[in-house]
Amino acid sequence: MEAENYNILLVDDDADDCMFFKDALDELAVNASLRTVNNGEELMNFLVNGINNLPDILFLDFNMPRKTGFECLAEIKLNEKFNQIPVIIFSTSRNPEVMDMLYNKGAKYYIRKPPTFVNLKSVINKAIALCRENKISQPSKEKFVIEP
Amino acid sequence: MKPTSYNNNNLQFLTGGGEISDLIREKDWSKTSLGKIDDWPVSLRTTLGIILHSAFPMFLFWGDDLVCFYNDAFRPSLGIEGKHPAIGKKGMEVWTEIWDFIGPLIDQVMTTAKPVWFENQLVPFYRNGKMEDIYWTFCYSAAYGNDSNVNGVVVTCTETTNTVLTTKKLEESESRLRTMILQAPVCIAIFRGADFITEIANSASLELWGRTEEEVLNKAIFEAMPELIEQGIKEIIHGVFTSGKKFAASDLPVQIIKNGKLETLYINFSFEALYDASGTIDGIMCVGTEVTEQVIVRKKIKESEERFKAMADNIPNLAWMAHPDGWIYWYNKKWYDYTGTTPQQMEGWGWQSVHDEKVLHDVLVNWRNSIEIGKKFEMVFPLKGADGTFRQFLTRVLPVYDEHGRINQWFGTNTDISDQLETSRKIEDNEKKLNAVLKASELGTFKLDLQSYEVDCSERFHEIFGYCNGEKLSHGAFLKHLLPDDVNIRNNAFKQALQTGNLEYQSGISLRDNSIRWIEIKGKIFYDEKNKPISAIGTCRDISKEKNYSKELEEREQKFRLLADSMPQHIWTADPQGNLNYYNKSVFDYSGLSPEQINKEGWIQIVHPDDREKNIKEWIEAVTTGKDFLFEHRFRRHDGTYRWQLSRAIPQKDEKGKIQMWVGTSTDIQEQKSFSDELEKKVKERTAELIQLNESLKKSEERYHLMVKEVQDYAILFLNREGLVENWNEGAEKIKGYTAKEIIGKSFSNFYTEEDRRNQLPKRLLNMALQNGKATQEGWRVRKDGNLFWASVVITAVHNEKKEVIGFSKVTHDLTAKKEADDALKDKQLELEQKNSELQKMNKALQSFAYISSHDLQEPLRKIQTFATRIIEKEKANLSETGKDLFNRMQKAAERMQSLIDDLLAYSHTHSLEGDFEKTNLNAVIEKVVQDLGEEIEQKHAAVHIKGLCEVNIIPFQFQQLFYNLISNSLKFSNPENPLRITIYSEKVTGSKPENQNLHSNTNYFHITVADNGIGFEPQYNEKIFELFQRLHGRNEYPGTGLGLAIVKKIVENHNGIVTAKGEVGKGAIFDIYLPVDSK
Repeated sequence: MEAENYNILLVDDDADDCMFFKDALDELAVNASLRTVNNGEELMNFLVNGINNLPDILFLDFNMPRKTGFECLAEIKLNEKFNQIPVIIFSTSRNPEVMDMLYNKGAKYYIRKPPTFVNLKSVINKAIALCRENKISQPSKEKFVIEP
Repeated sequence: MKPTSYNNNNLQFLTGGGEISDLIREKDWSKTSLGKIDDWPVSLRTTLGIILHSAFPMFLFWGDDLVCFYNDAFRPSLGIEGKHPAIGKKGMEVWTEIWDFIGPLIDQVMTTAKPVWFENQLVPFYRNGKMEDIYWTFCYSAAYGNDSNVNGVVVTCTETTNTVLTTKKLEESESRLRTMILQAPVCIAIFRGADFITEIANSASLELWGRTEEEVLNKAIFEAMPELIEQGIKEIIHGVFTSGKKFAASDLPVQIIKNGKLETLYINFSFEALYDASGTIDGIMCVGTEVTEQVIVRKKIKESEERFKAMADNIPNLAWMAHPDGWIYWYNKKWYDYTGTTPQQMEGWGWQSVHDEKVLHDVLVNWRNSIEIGKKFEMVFPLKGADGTFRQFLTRVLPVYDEHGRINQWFGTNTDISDQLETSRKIEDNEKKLNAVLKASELGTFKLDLQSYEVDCSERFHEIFGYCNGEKLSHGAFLKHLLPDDVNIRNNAFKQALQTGNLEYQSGISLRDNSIRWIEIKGKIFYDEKNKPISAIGTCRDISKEKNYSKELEEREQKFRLLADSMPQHIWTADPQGNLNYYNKSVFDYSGLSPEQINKEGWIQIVHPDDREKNIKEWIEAVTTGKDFLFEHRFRRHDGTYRWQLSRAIPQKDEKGKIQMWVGTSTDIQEQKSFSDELEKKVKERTAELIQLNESLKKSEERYHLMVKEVQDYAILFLNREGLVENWNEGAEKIKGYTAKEIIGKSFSNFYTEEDRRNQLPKRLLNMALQNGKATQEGWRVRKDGNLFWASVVITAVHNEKKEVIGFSKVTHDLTAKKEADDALKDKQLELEQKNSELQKMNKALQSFAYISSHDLQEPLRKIQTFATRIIEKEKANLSETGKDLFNRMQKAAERMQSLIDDLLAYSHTHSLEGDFEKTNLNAVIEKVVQDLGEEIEQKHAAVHIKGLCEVNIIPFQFQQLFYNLISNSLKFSNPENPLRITIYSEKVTGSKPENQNLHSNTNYFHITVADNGIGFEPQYNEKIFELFQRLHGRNEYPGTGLGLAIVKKIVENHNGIVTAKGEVGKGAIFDIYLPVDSK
């Protein structure tokens, strides 16, 4: 659809989820390349070393060992070099308190990992479209959660 | 004719023509248009001859070229370094710069032959090395040639430059003079002619006259200012005009109309004659200044001086004035009258002759000292009168200063104070006498200045206040000594004194050694002429002794009153004339009247109207005879009833037997009075009562027997002293199993267990009843058949009239059923507690489960679901129908698990948090839920009706969950044949409404009802449906986790509320929620 190649970075420690994401993206007609890292430390290394080739969009799993998604988000937002990368939280939880915290920390969207593949495709597609539409500002709170 | 001879002859006209003639002769004319002189026409020669020989400056333009000639007289006008010599040059070349002006004039004369004349004409031309302004008076006239034609122009001219410039300067200086006059600060005016026409009047004049320029200029002054005619001015000015003698006057009053009214002005002015060139007087110059102010001031000074002198002569004092050096230059008349001296004798320092030689030295020293330092002088010394006697004078001399602050004179007065001295000596004498009197009377005196509140007190006054050794008592200190209770007495007395003029009060004072004294202050207020109080003067008397005595009296009386007031009898006193003047408290209490009421309408109002006449008679009798008063009468009580009183009054007599007062008492004798009646009445009543009692006793005995016999629930038996059964009722037979026959005469210990008998319980109970009159006990008893029963036993000792115990009544109540119930209750409670703790454990477990499920359980479940969808999508074709069905079931199970987890999470999150409460509009909450469920509501054709909802203090998201659960519940359990109607409404109710038995009766509730017309449920499940995981239907019929209503219940309980459900199968379900109004 779009000539522009979209750089997507997925951070998730769960191999199954990584597979689902890749399959979903493959089936979507999106001109995008996906790279995957498996924990917070890898993510930070990836960003620091690949400073000249930063992702256009970052899907960040919330529940990860060692360094949680929340900690990663905080670290990203502190770094001037890549705090403009739109961060989309990817999580199983639907705890409102956690969601508030993430929104206030500067996450752009929140996706609850859906139980069906169809819905997974739908939310990824929506997330990419939304980030393309609105490259900079954080949406209002009501639009924070992307529903399938 | 020979030209030569002719030539010689011809040059005759040049002879004696001066410098210019020589120039003409020497010039070579051959090259000019005129040619050689010898050839010049006679007309030219003749004309030149006239010109050259004239002493008047002349010039000639001749011929077509207007060749220039002029004579010696003209020569100076050309100046040095100018046009000279211009002889023989062409006119146009010589007068280039003015040719524009003279060219046309020359032409005019050449053509018309008429002369042209100018006077003082400015014709500037070049001379003396520059262009100069030159004025001329000149004439151009025609010069004729031989042929009688005009062949040239003769100019006769004289330079008038000097004359013109001089005239101009004169005019300028005249105009300057005029300006000066006009602007001079003094009035200057010039009148011309015998009519005195005003030629000049400067602005100062106009102002003085009060006229404008138009009103006076070029008009006869006496026409312009007619008011002057009658004032002699006209005569004066006329005199000057005729005689030429200058007239000058100063301070002359002149009346002039200014601003429409006649004013008197004082003027210094002069008239001077003005002469014309011929030496005749042709005008008058008037110069003047207005001195009105100065004249008025001078007049005033003079008047005030005269007034002063007149006054000084009229004052009773001797007065005089001296120069700054002390030289006296003036005395008033009184001085001369008193001393009998003359001004000559007194002038300067002559006054020493009327002084006493003994004090003169001191006077001189003081007076000189005053003069030296410029300070006022004040001294008392004697002066000798005309009769030779000396009188004492108070002499005061004050310096008078000029405007520079320098002393310019002294003003002295001598006041005869001999009489005053005499008076003050007398006053002193009087004061001494008064002091002696005051001292003798021990009165202190004071004088209080009412402006400054400074007080001047006598020594005795100080003494009364305990001040000695010259210590001074200030007014403030005085007030502080007053006893606090008496300050008001003093203040009131003072206030009154300011109005009446008399000050009088008594007060206690506290001395510095804390002892108390009593003083009496008496005084008078003195006023100034404006009737303003200025001082209070009076005396202070120590009245401690008297006061203490009267205080004692007062205390005694106080004691008496206290005593009298504490008596229940009425006590009163009267004066010797029989007027009652005191009543004790009892009188007022009894009658309910106030002292004012009794004083106003008299004590007789209390007396019964039937007793009044006799009462008054008896009282008058007693007062007149002095015998004791004794009388029985009825007094009205405050409630309107009358009671009999015995009043007695005894006269109090002094030592001489004279009655001082009456002391009376009135004692209530109502009881005694009516005693016999009452007694009789009571005996009758008692007798009647006894008869009645006997009857009722009989009846009651019958009733008792009947009752005892019939009572079945209680065993009622009578035991003799030894505990043998004497009497047995039906209840006893029923409870214990024995018939009357079987048991009467046997010991009651038969009813006790063996153990109790061994412990001698029956005996102990009887002893207890013997001692205390009663014994109670609960315990197991034995029936006839050997069964045990739980009994409550009361044994009461029965006494005869002599109070001897004749036996015992025994009442036994079978409590077995009650005991069983109680025991069961206890067990139940235990069970409940156990259940509660179990429940708590369960809750805890649930919470930890919820925590686990929120994170760890969800992950694999979600994956199962995702894998399942992947397989269905990708491998659908490879699956058999059975496989697909199984897959479908698996997915359903996973979905159910998912909702279970979600609901459990919601349930476990339902805990109240203080801060989450907020005032919330329920309408808004429900609308949101209805919106969320919109699709389902539409599917089921359901309608949600909301009415009367209001703002409630709740946790909003929990209530959203609550309504979500309830509405989706209704949607789920709707009747497919009946369109679903959900009604939600609320009202305020009190907890005391009978239907709400679980509510607190003194709390107000919001009652929210959610009702539907769905399938309903059986009433026995009213409570069960709120339990965790409770489902009334199979999963396949109605899906659900069984948590929805449990969550509803938990949310309501979180809000301290109550939720109940009412169901009817096929009709619908109603959920009632009660929230306390002040729910927090």
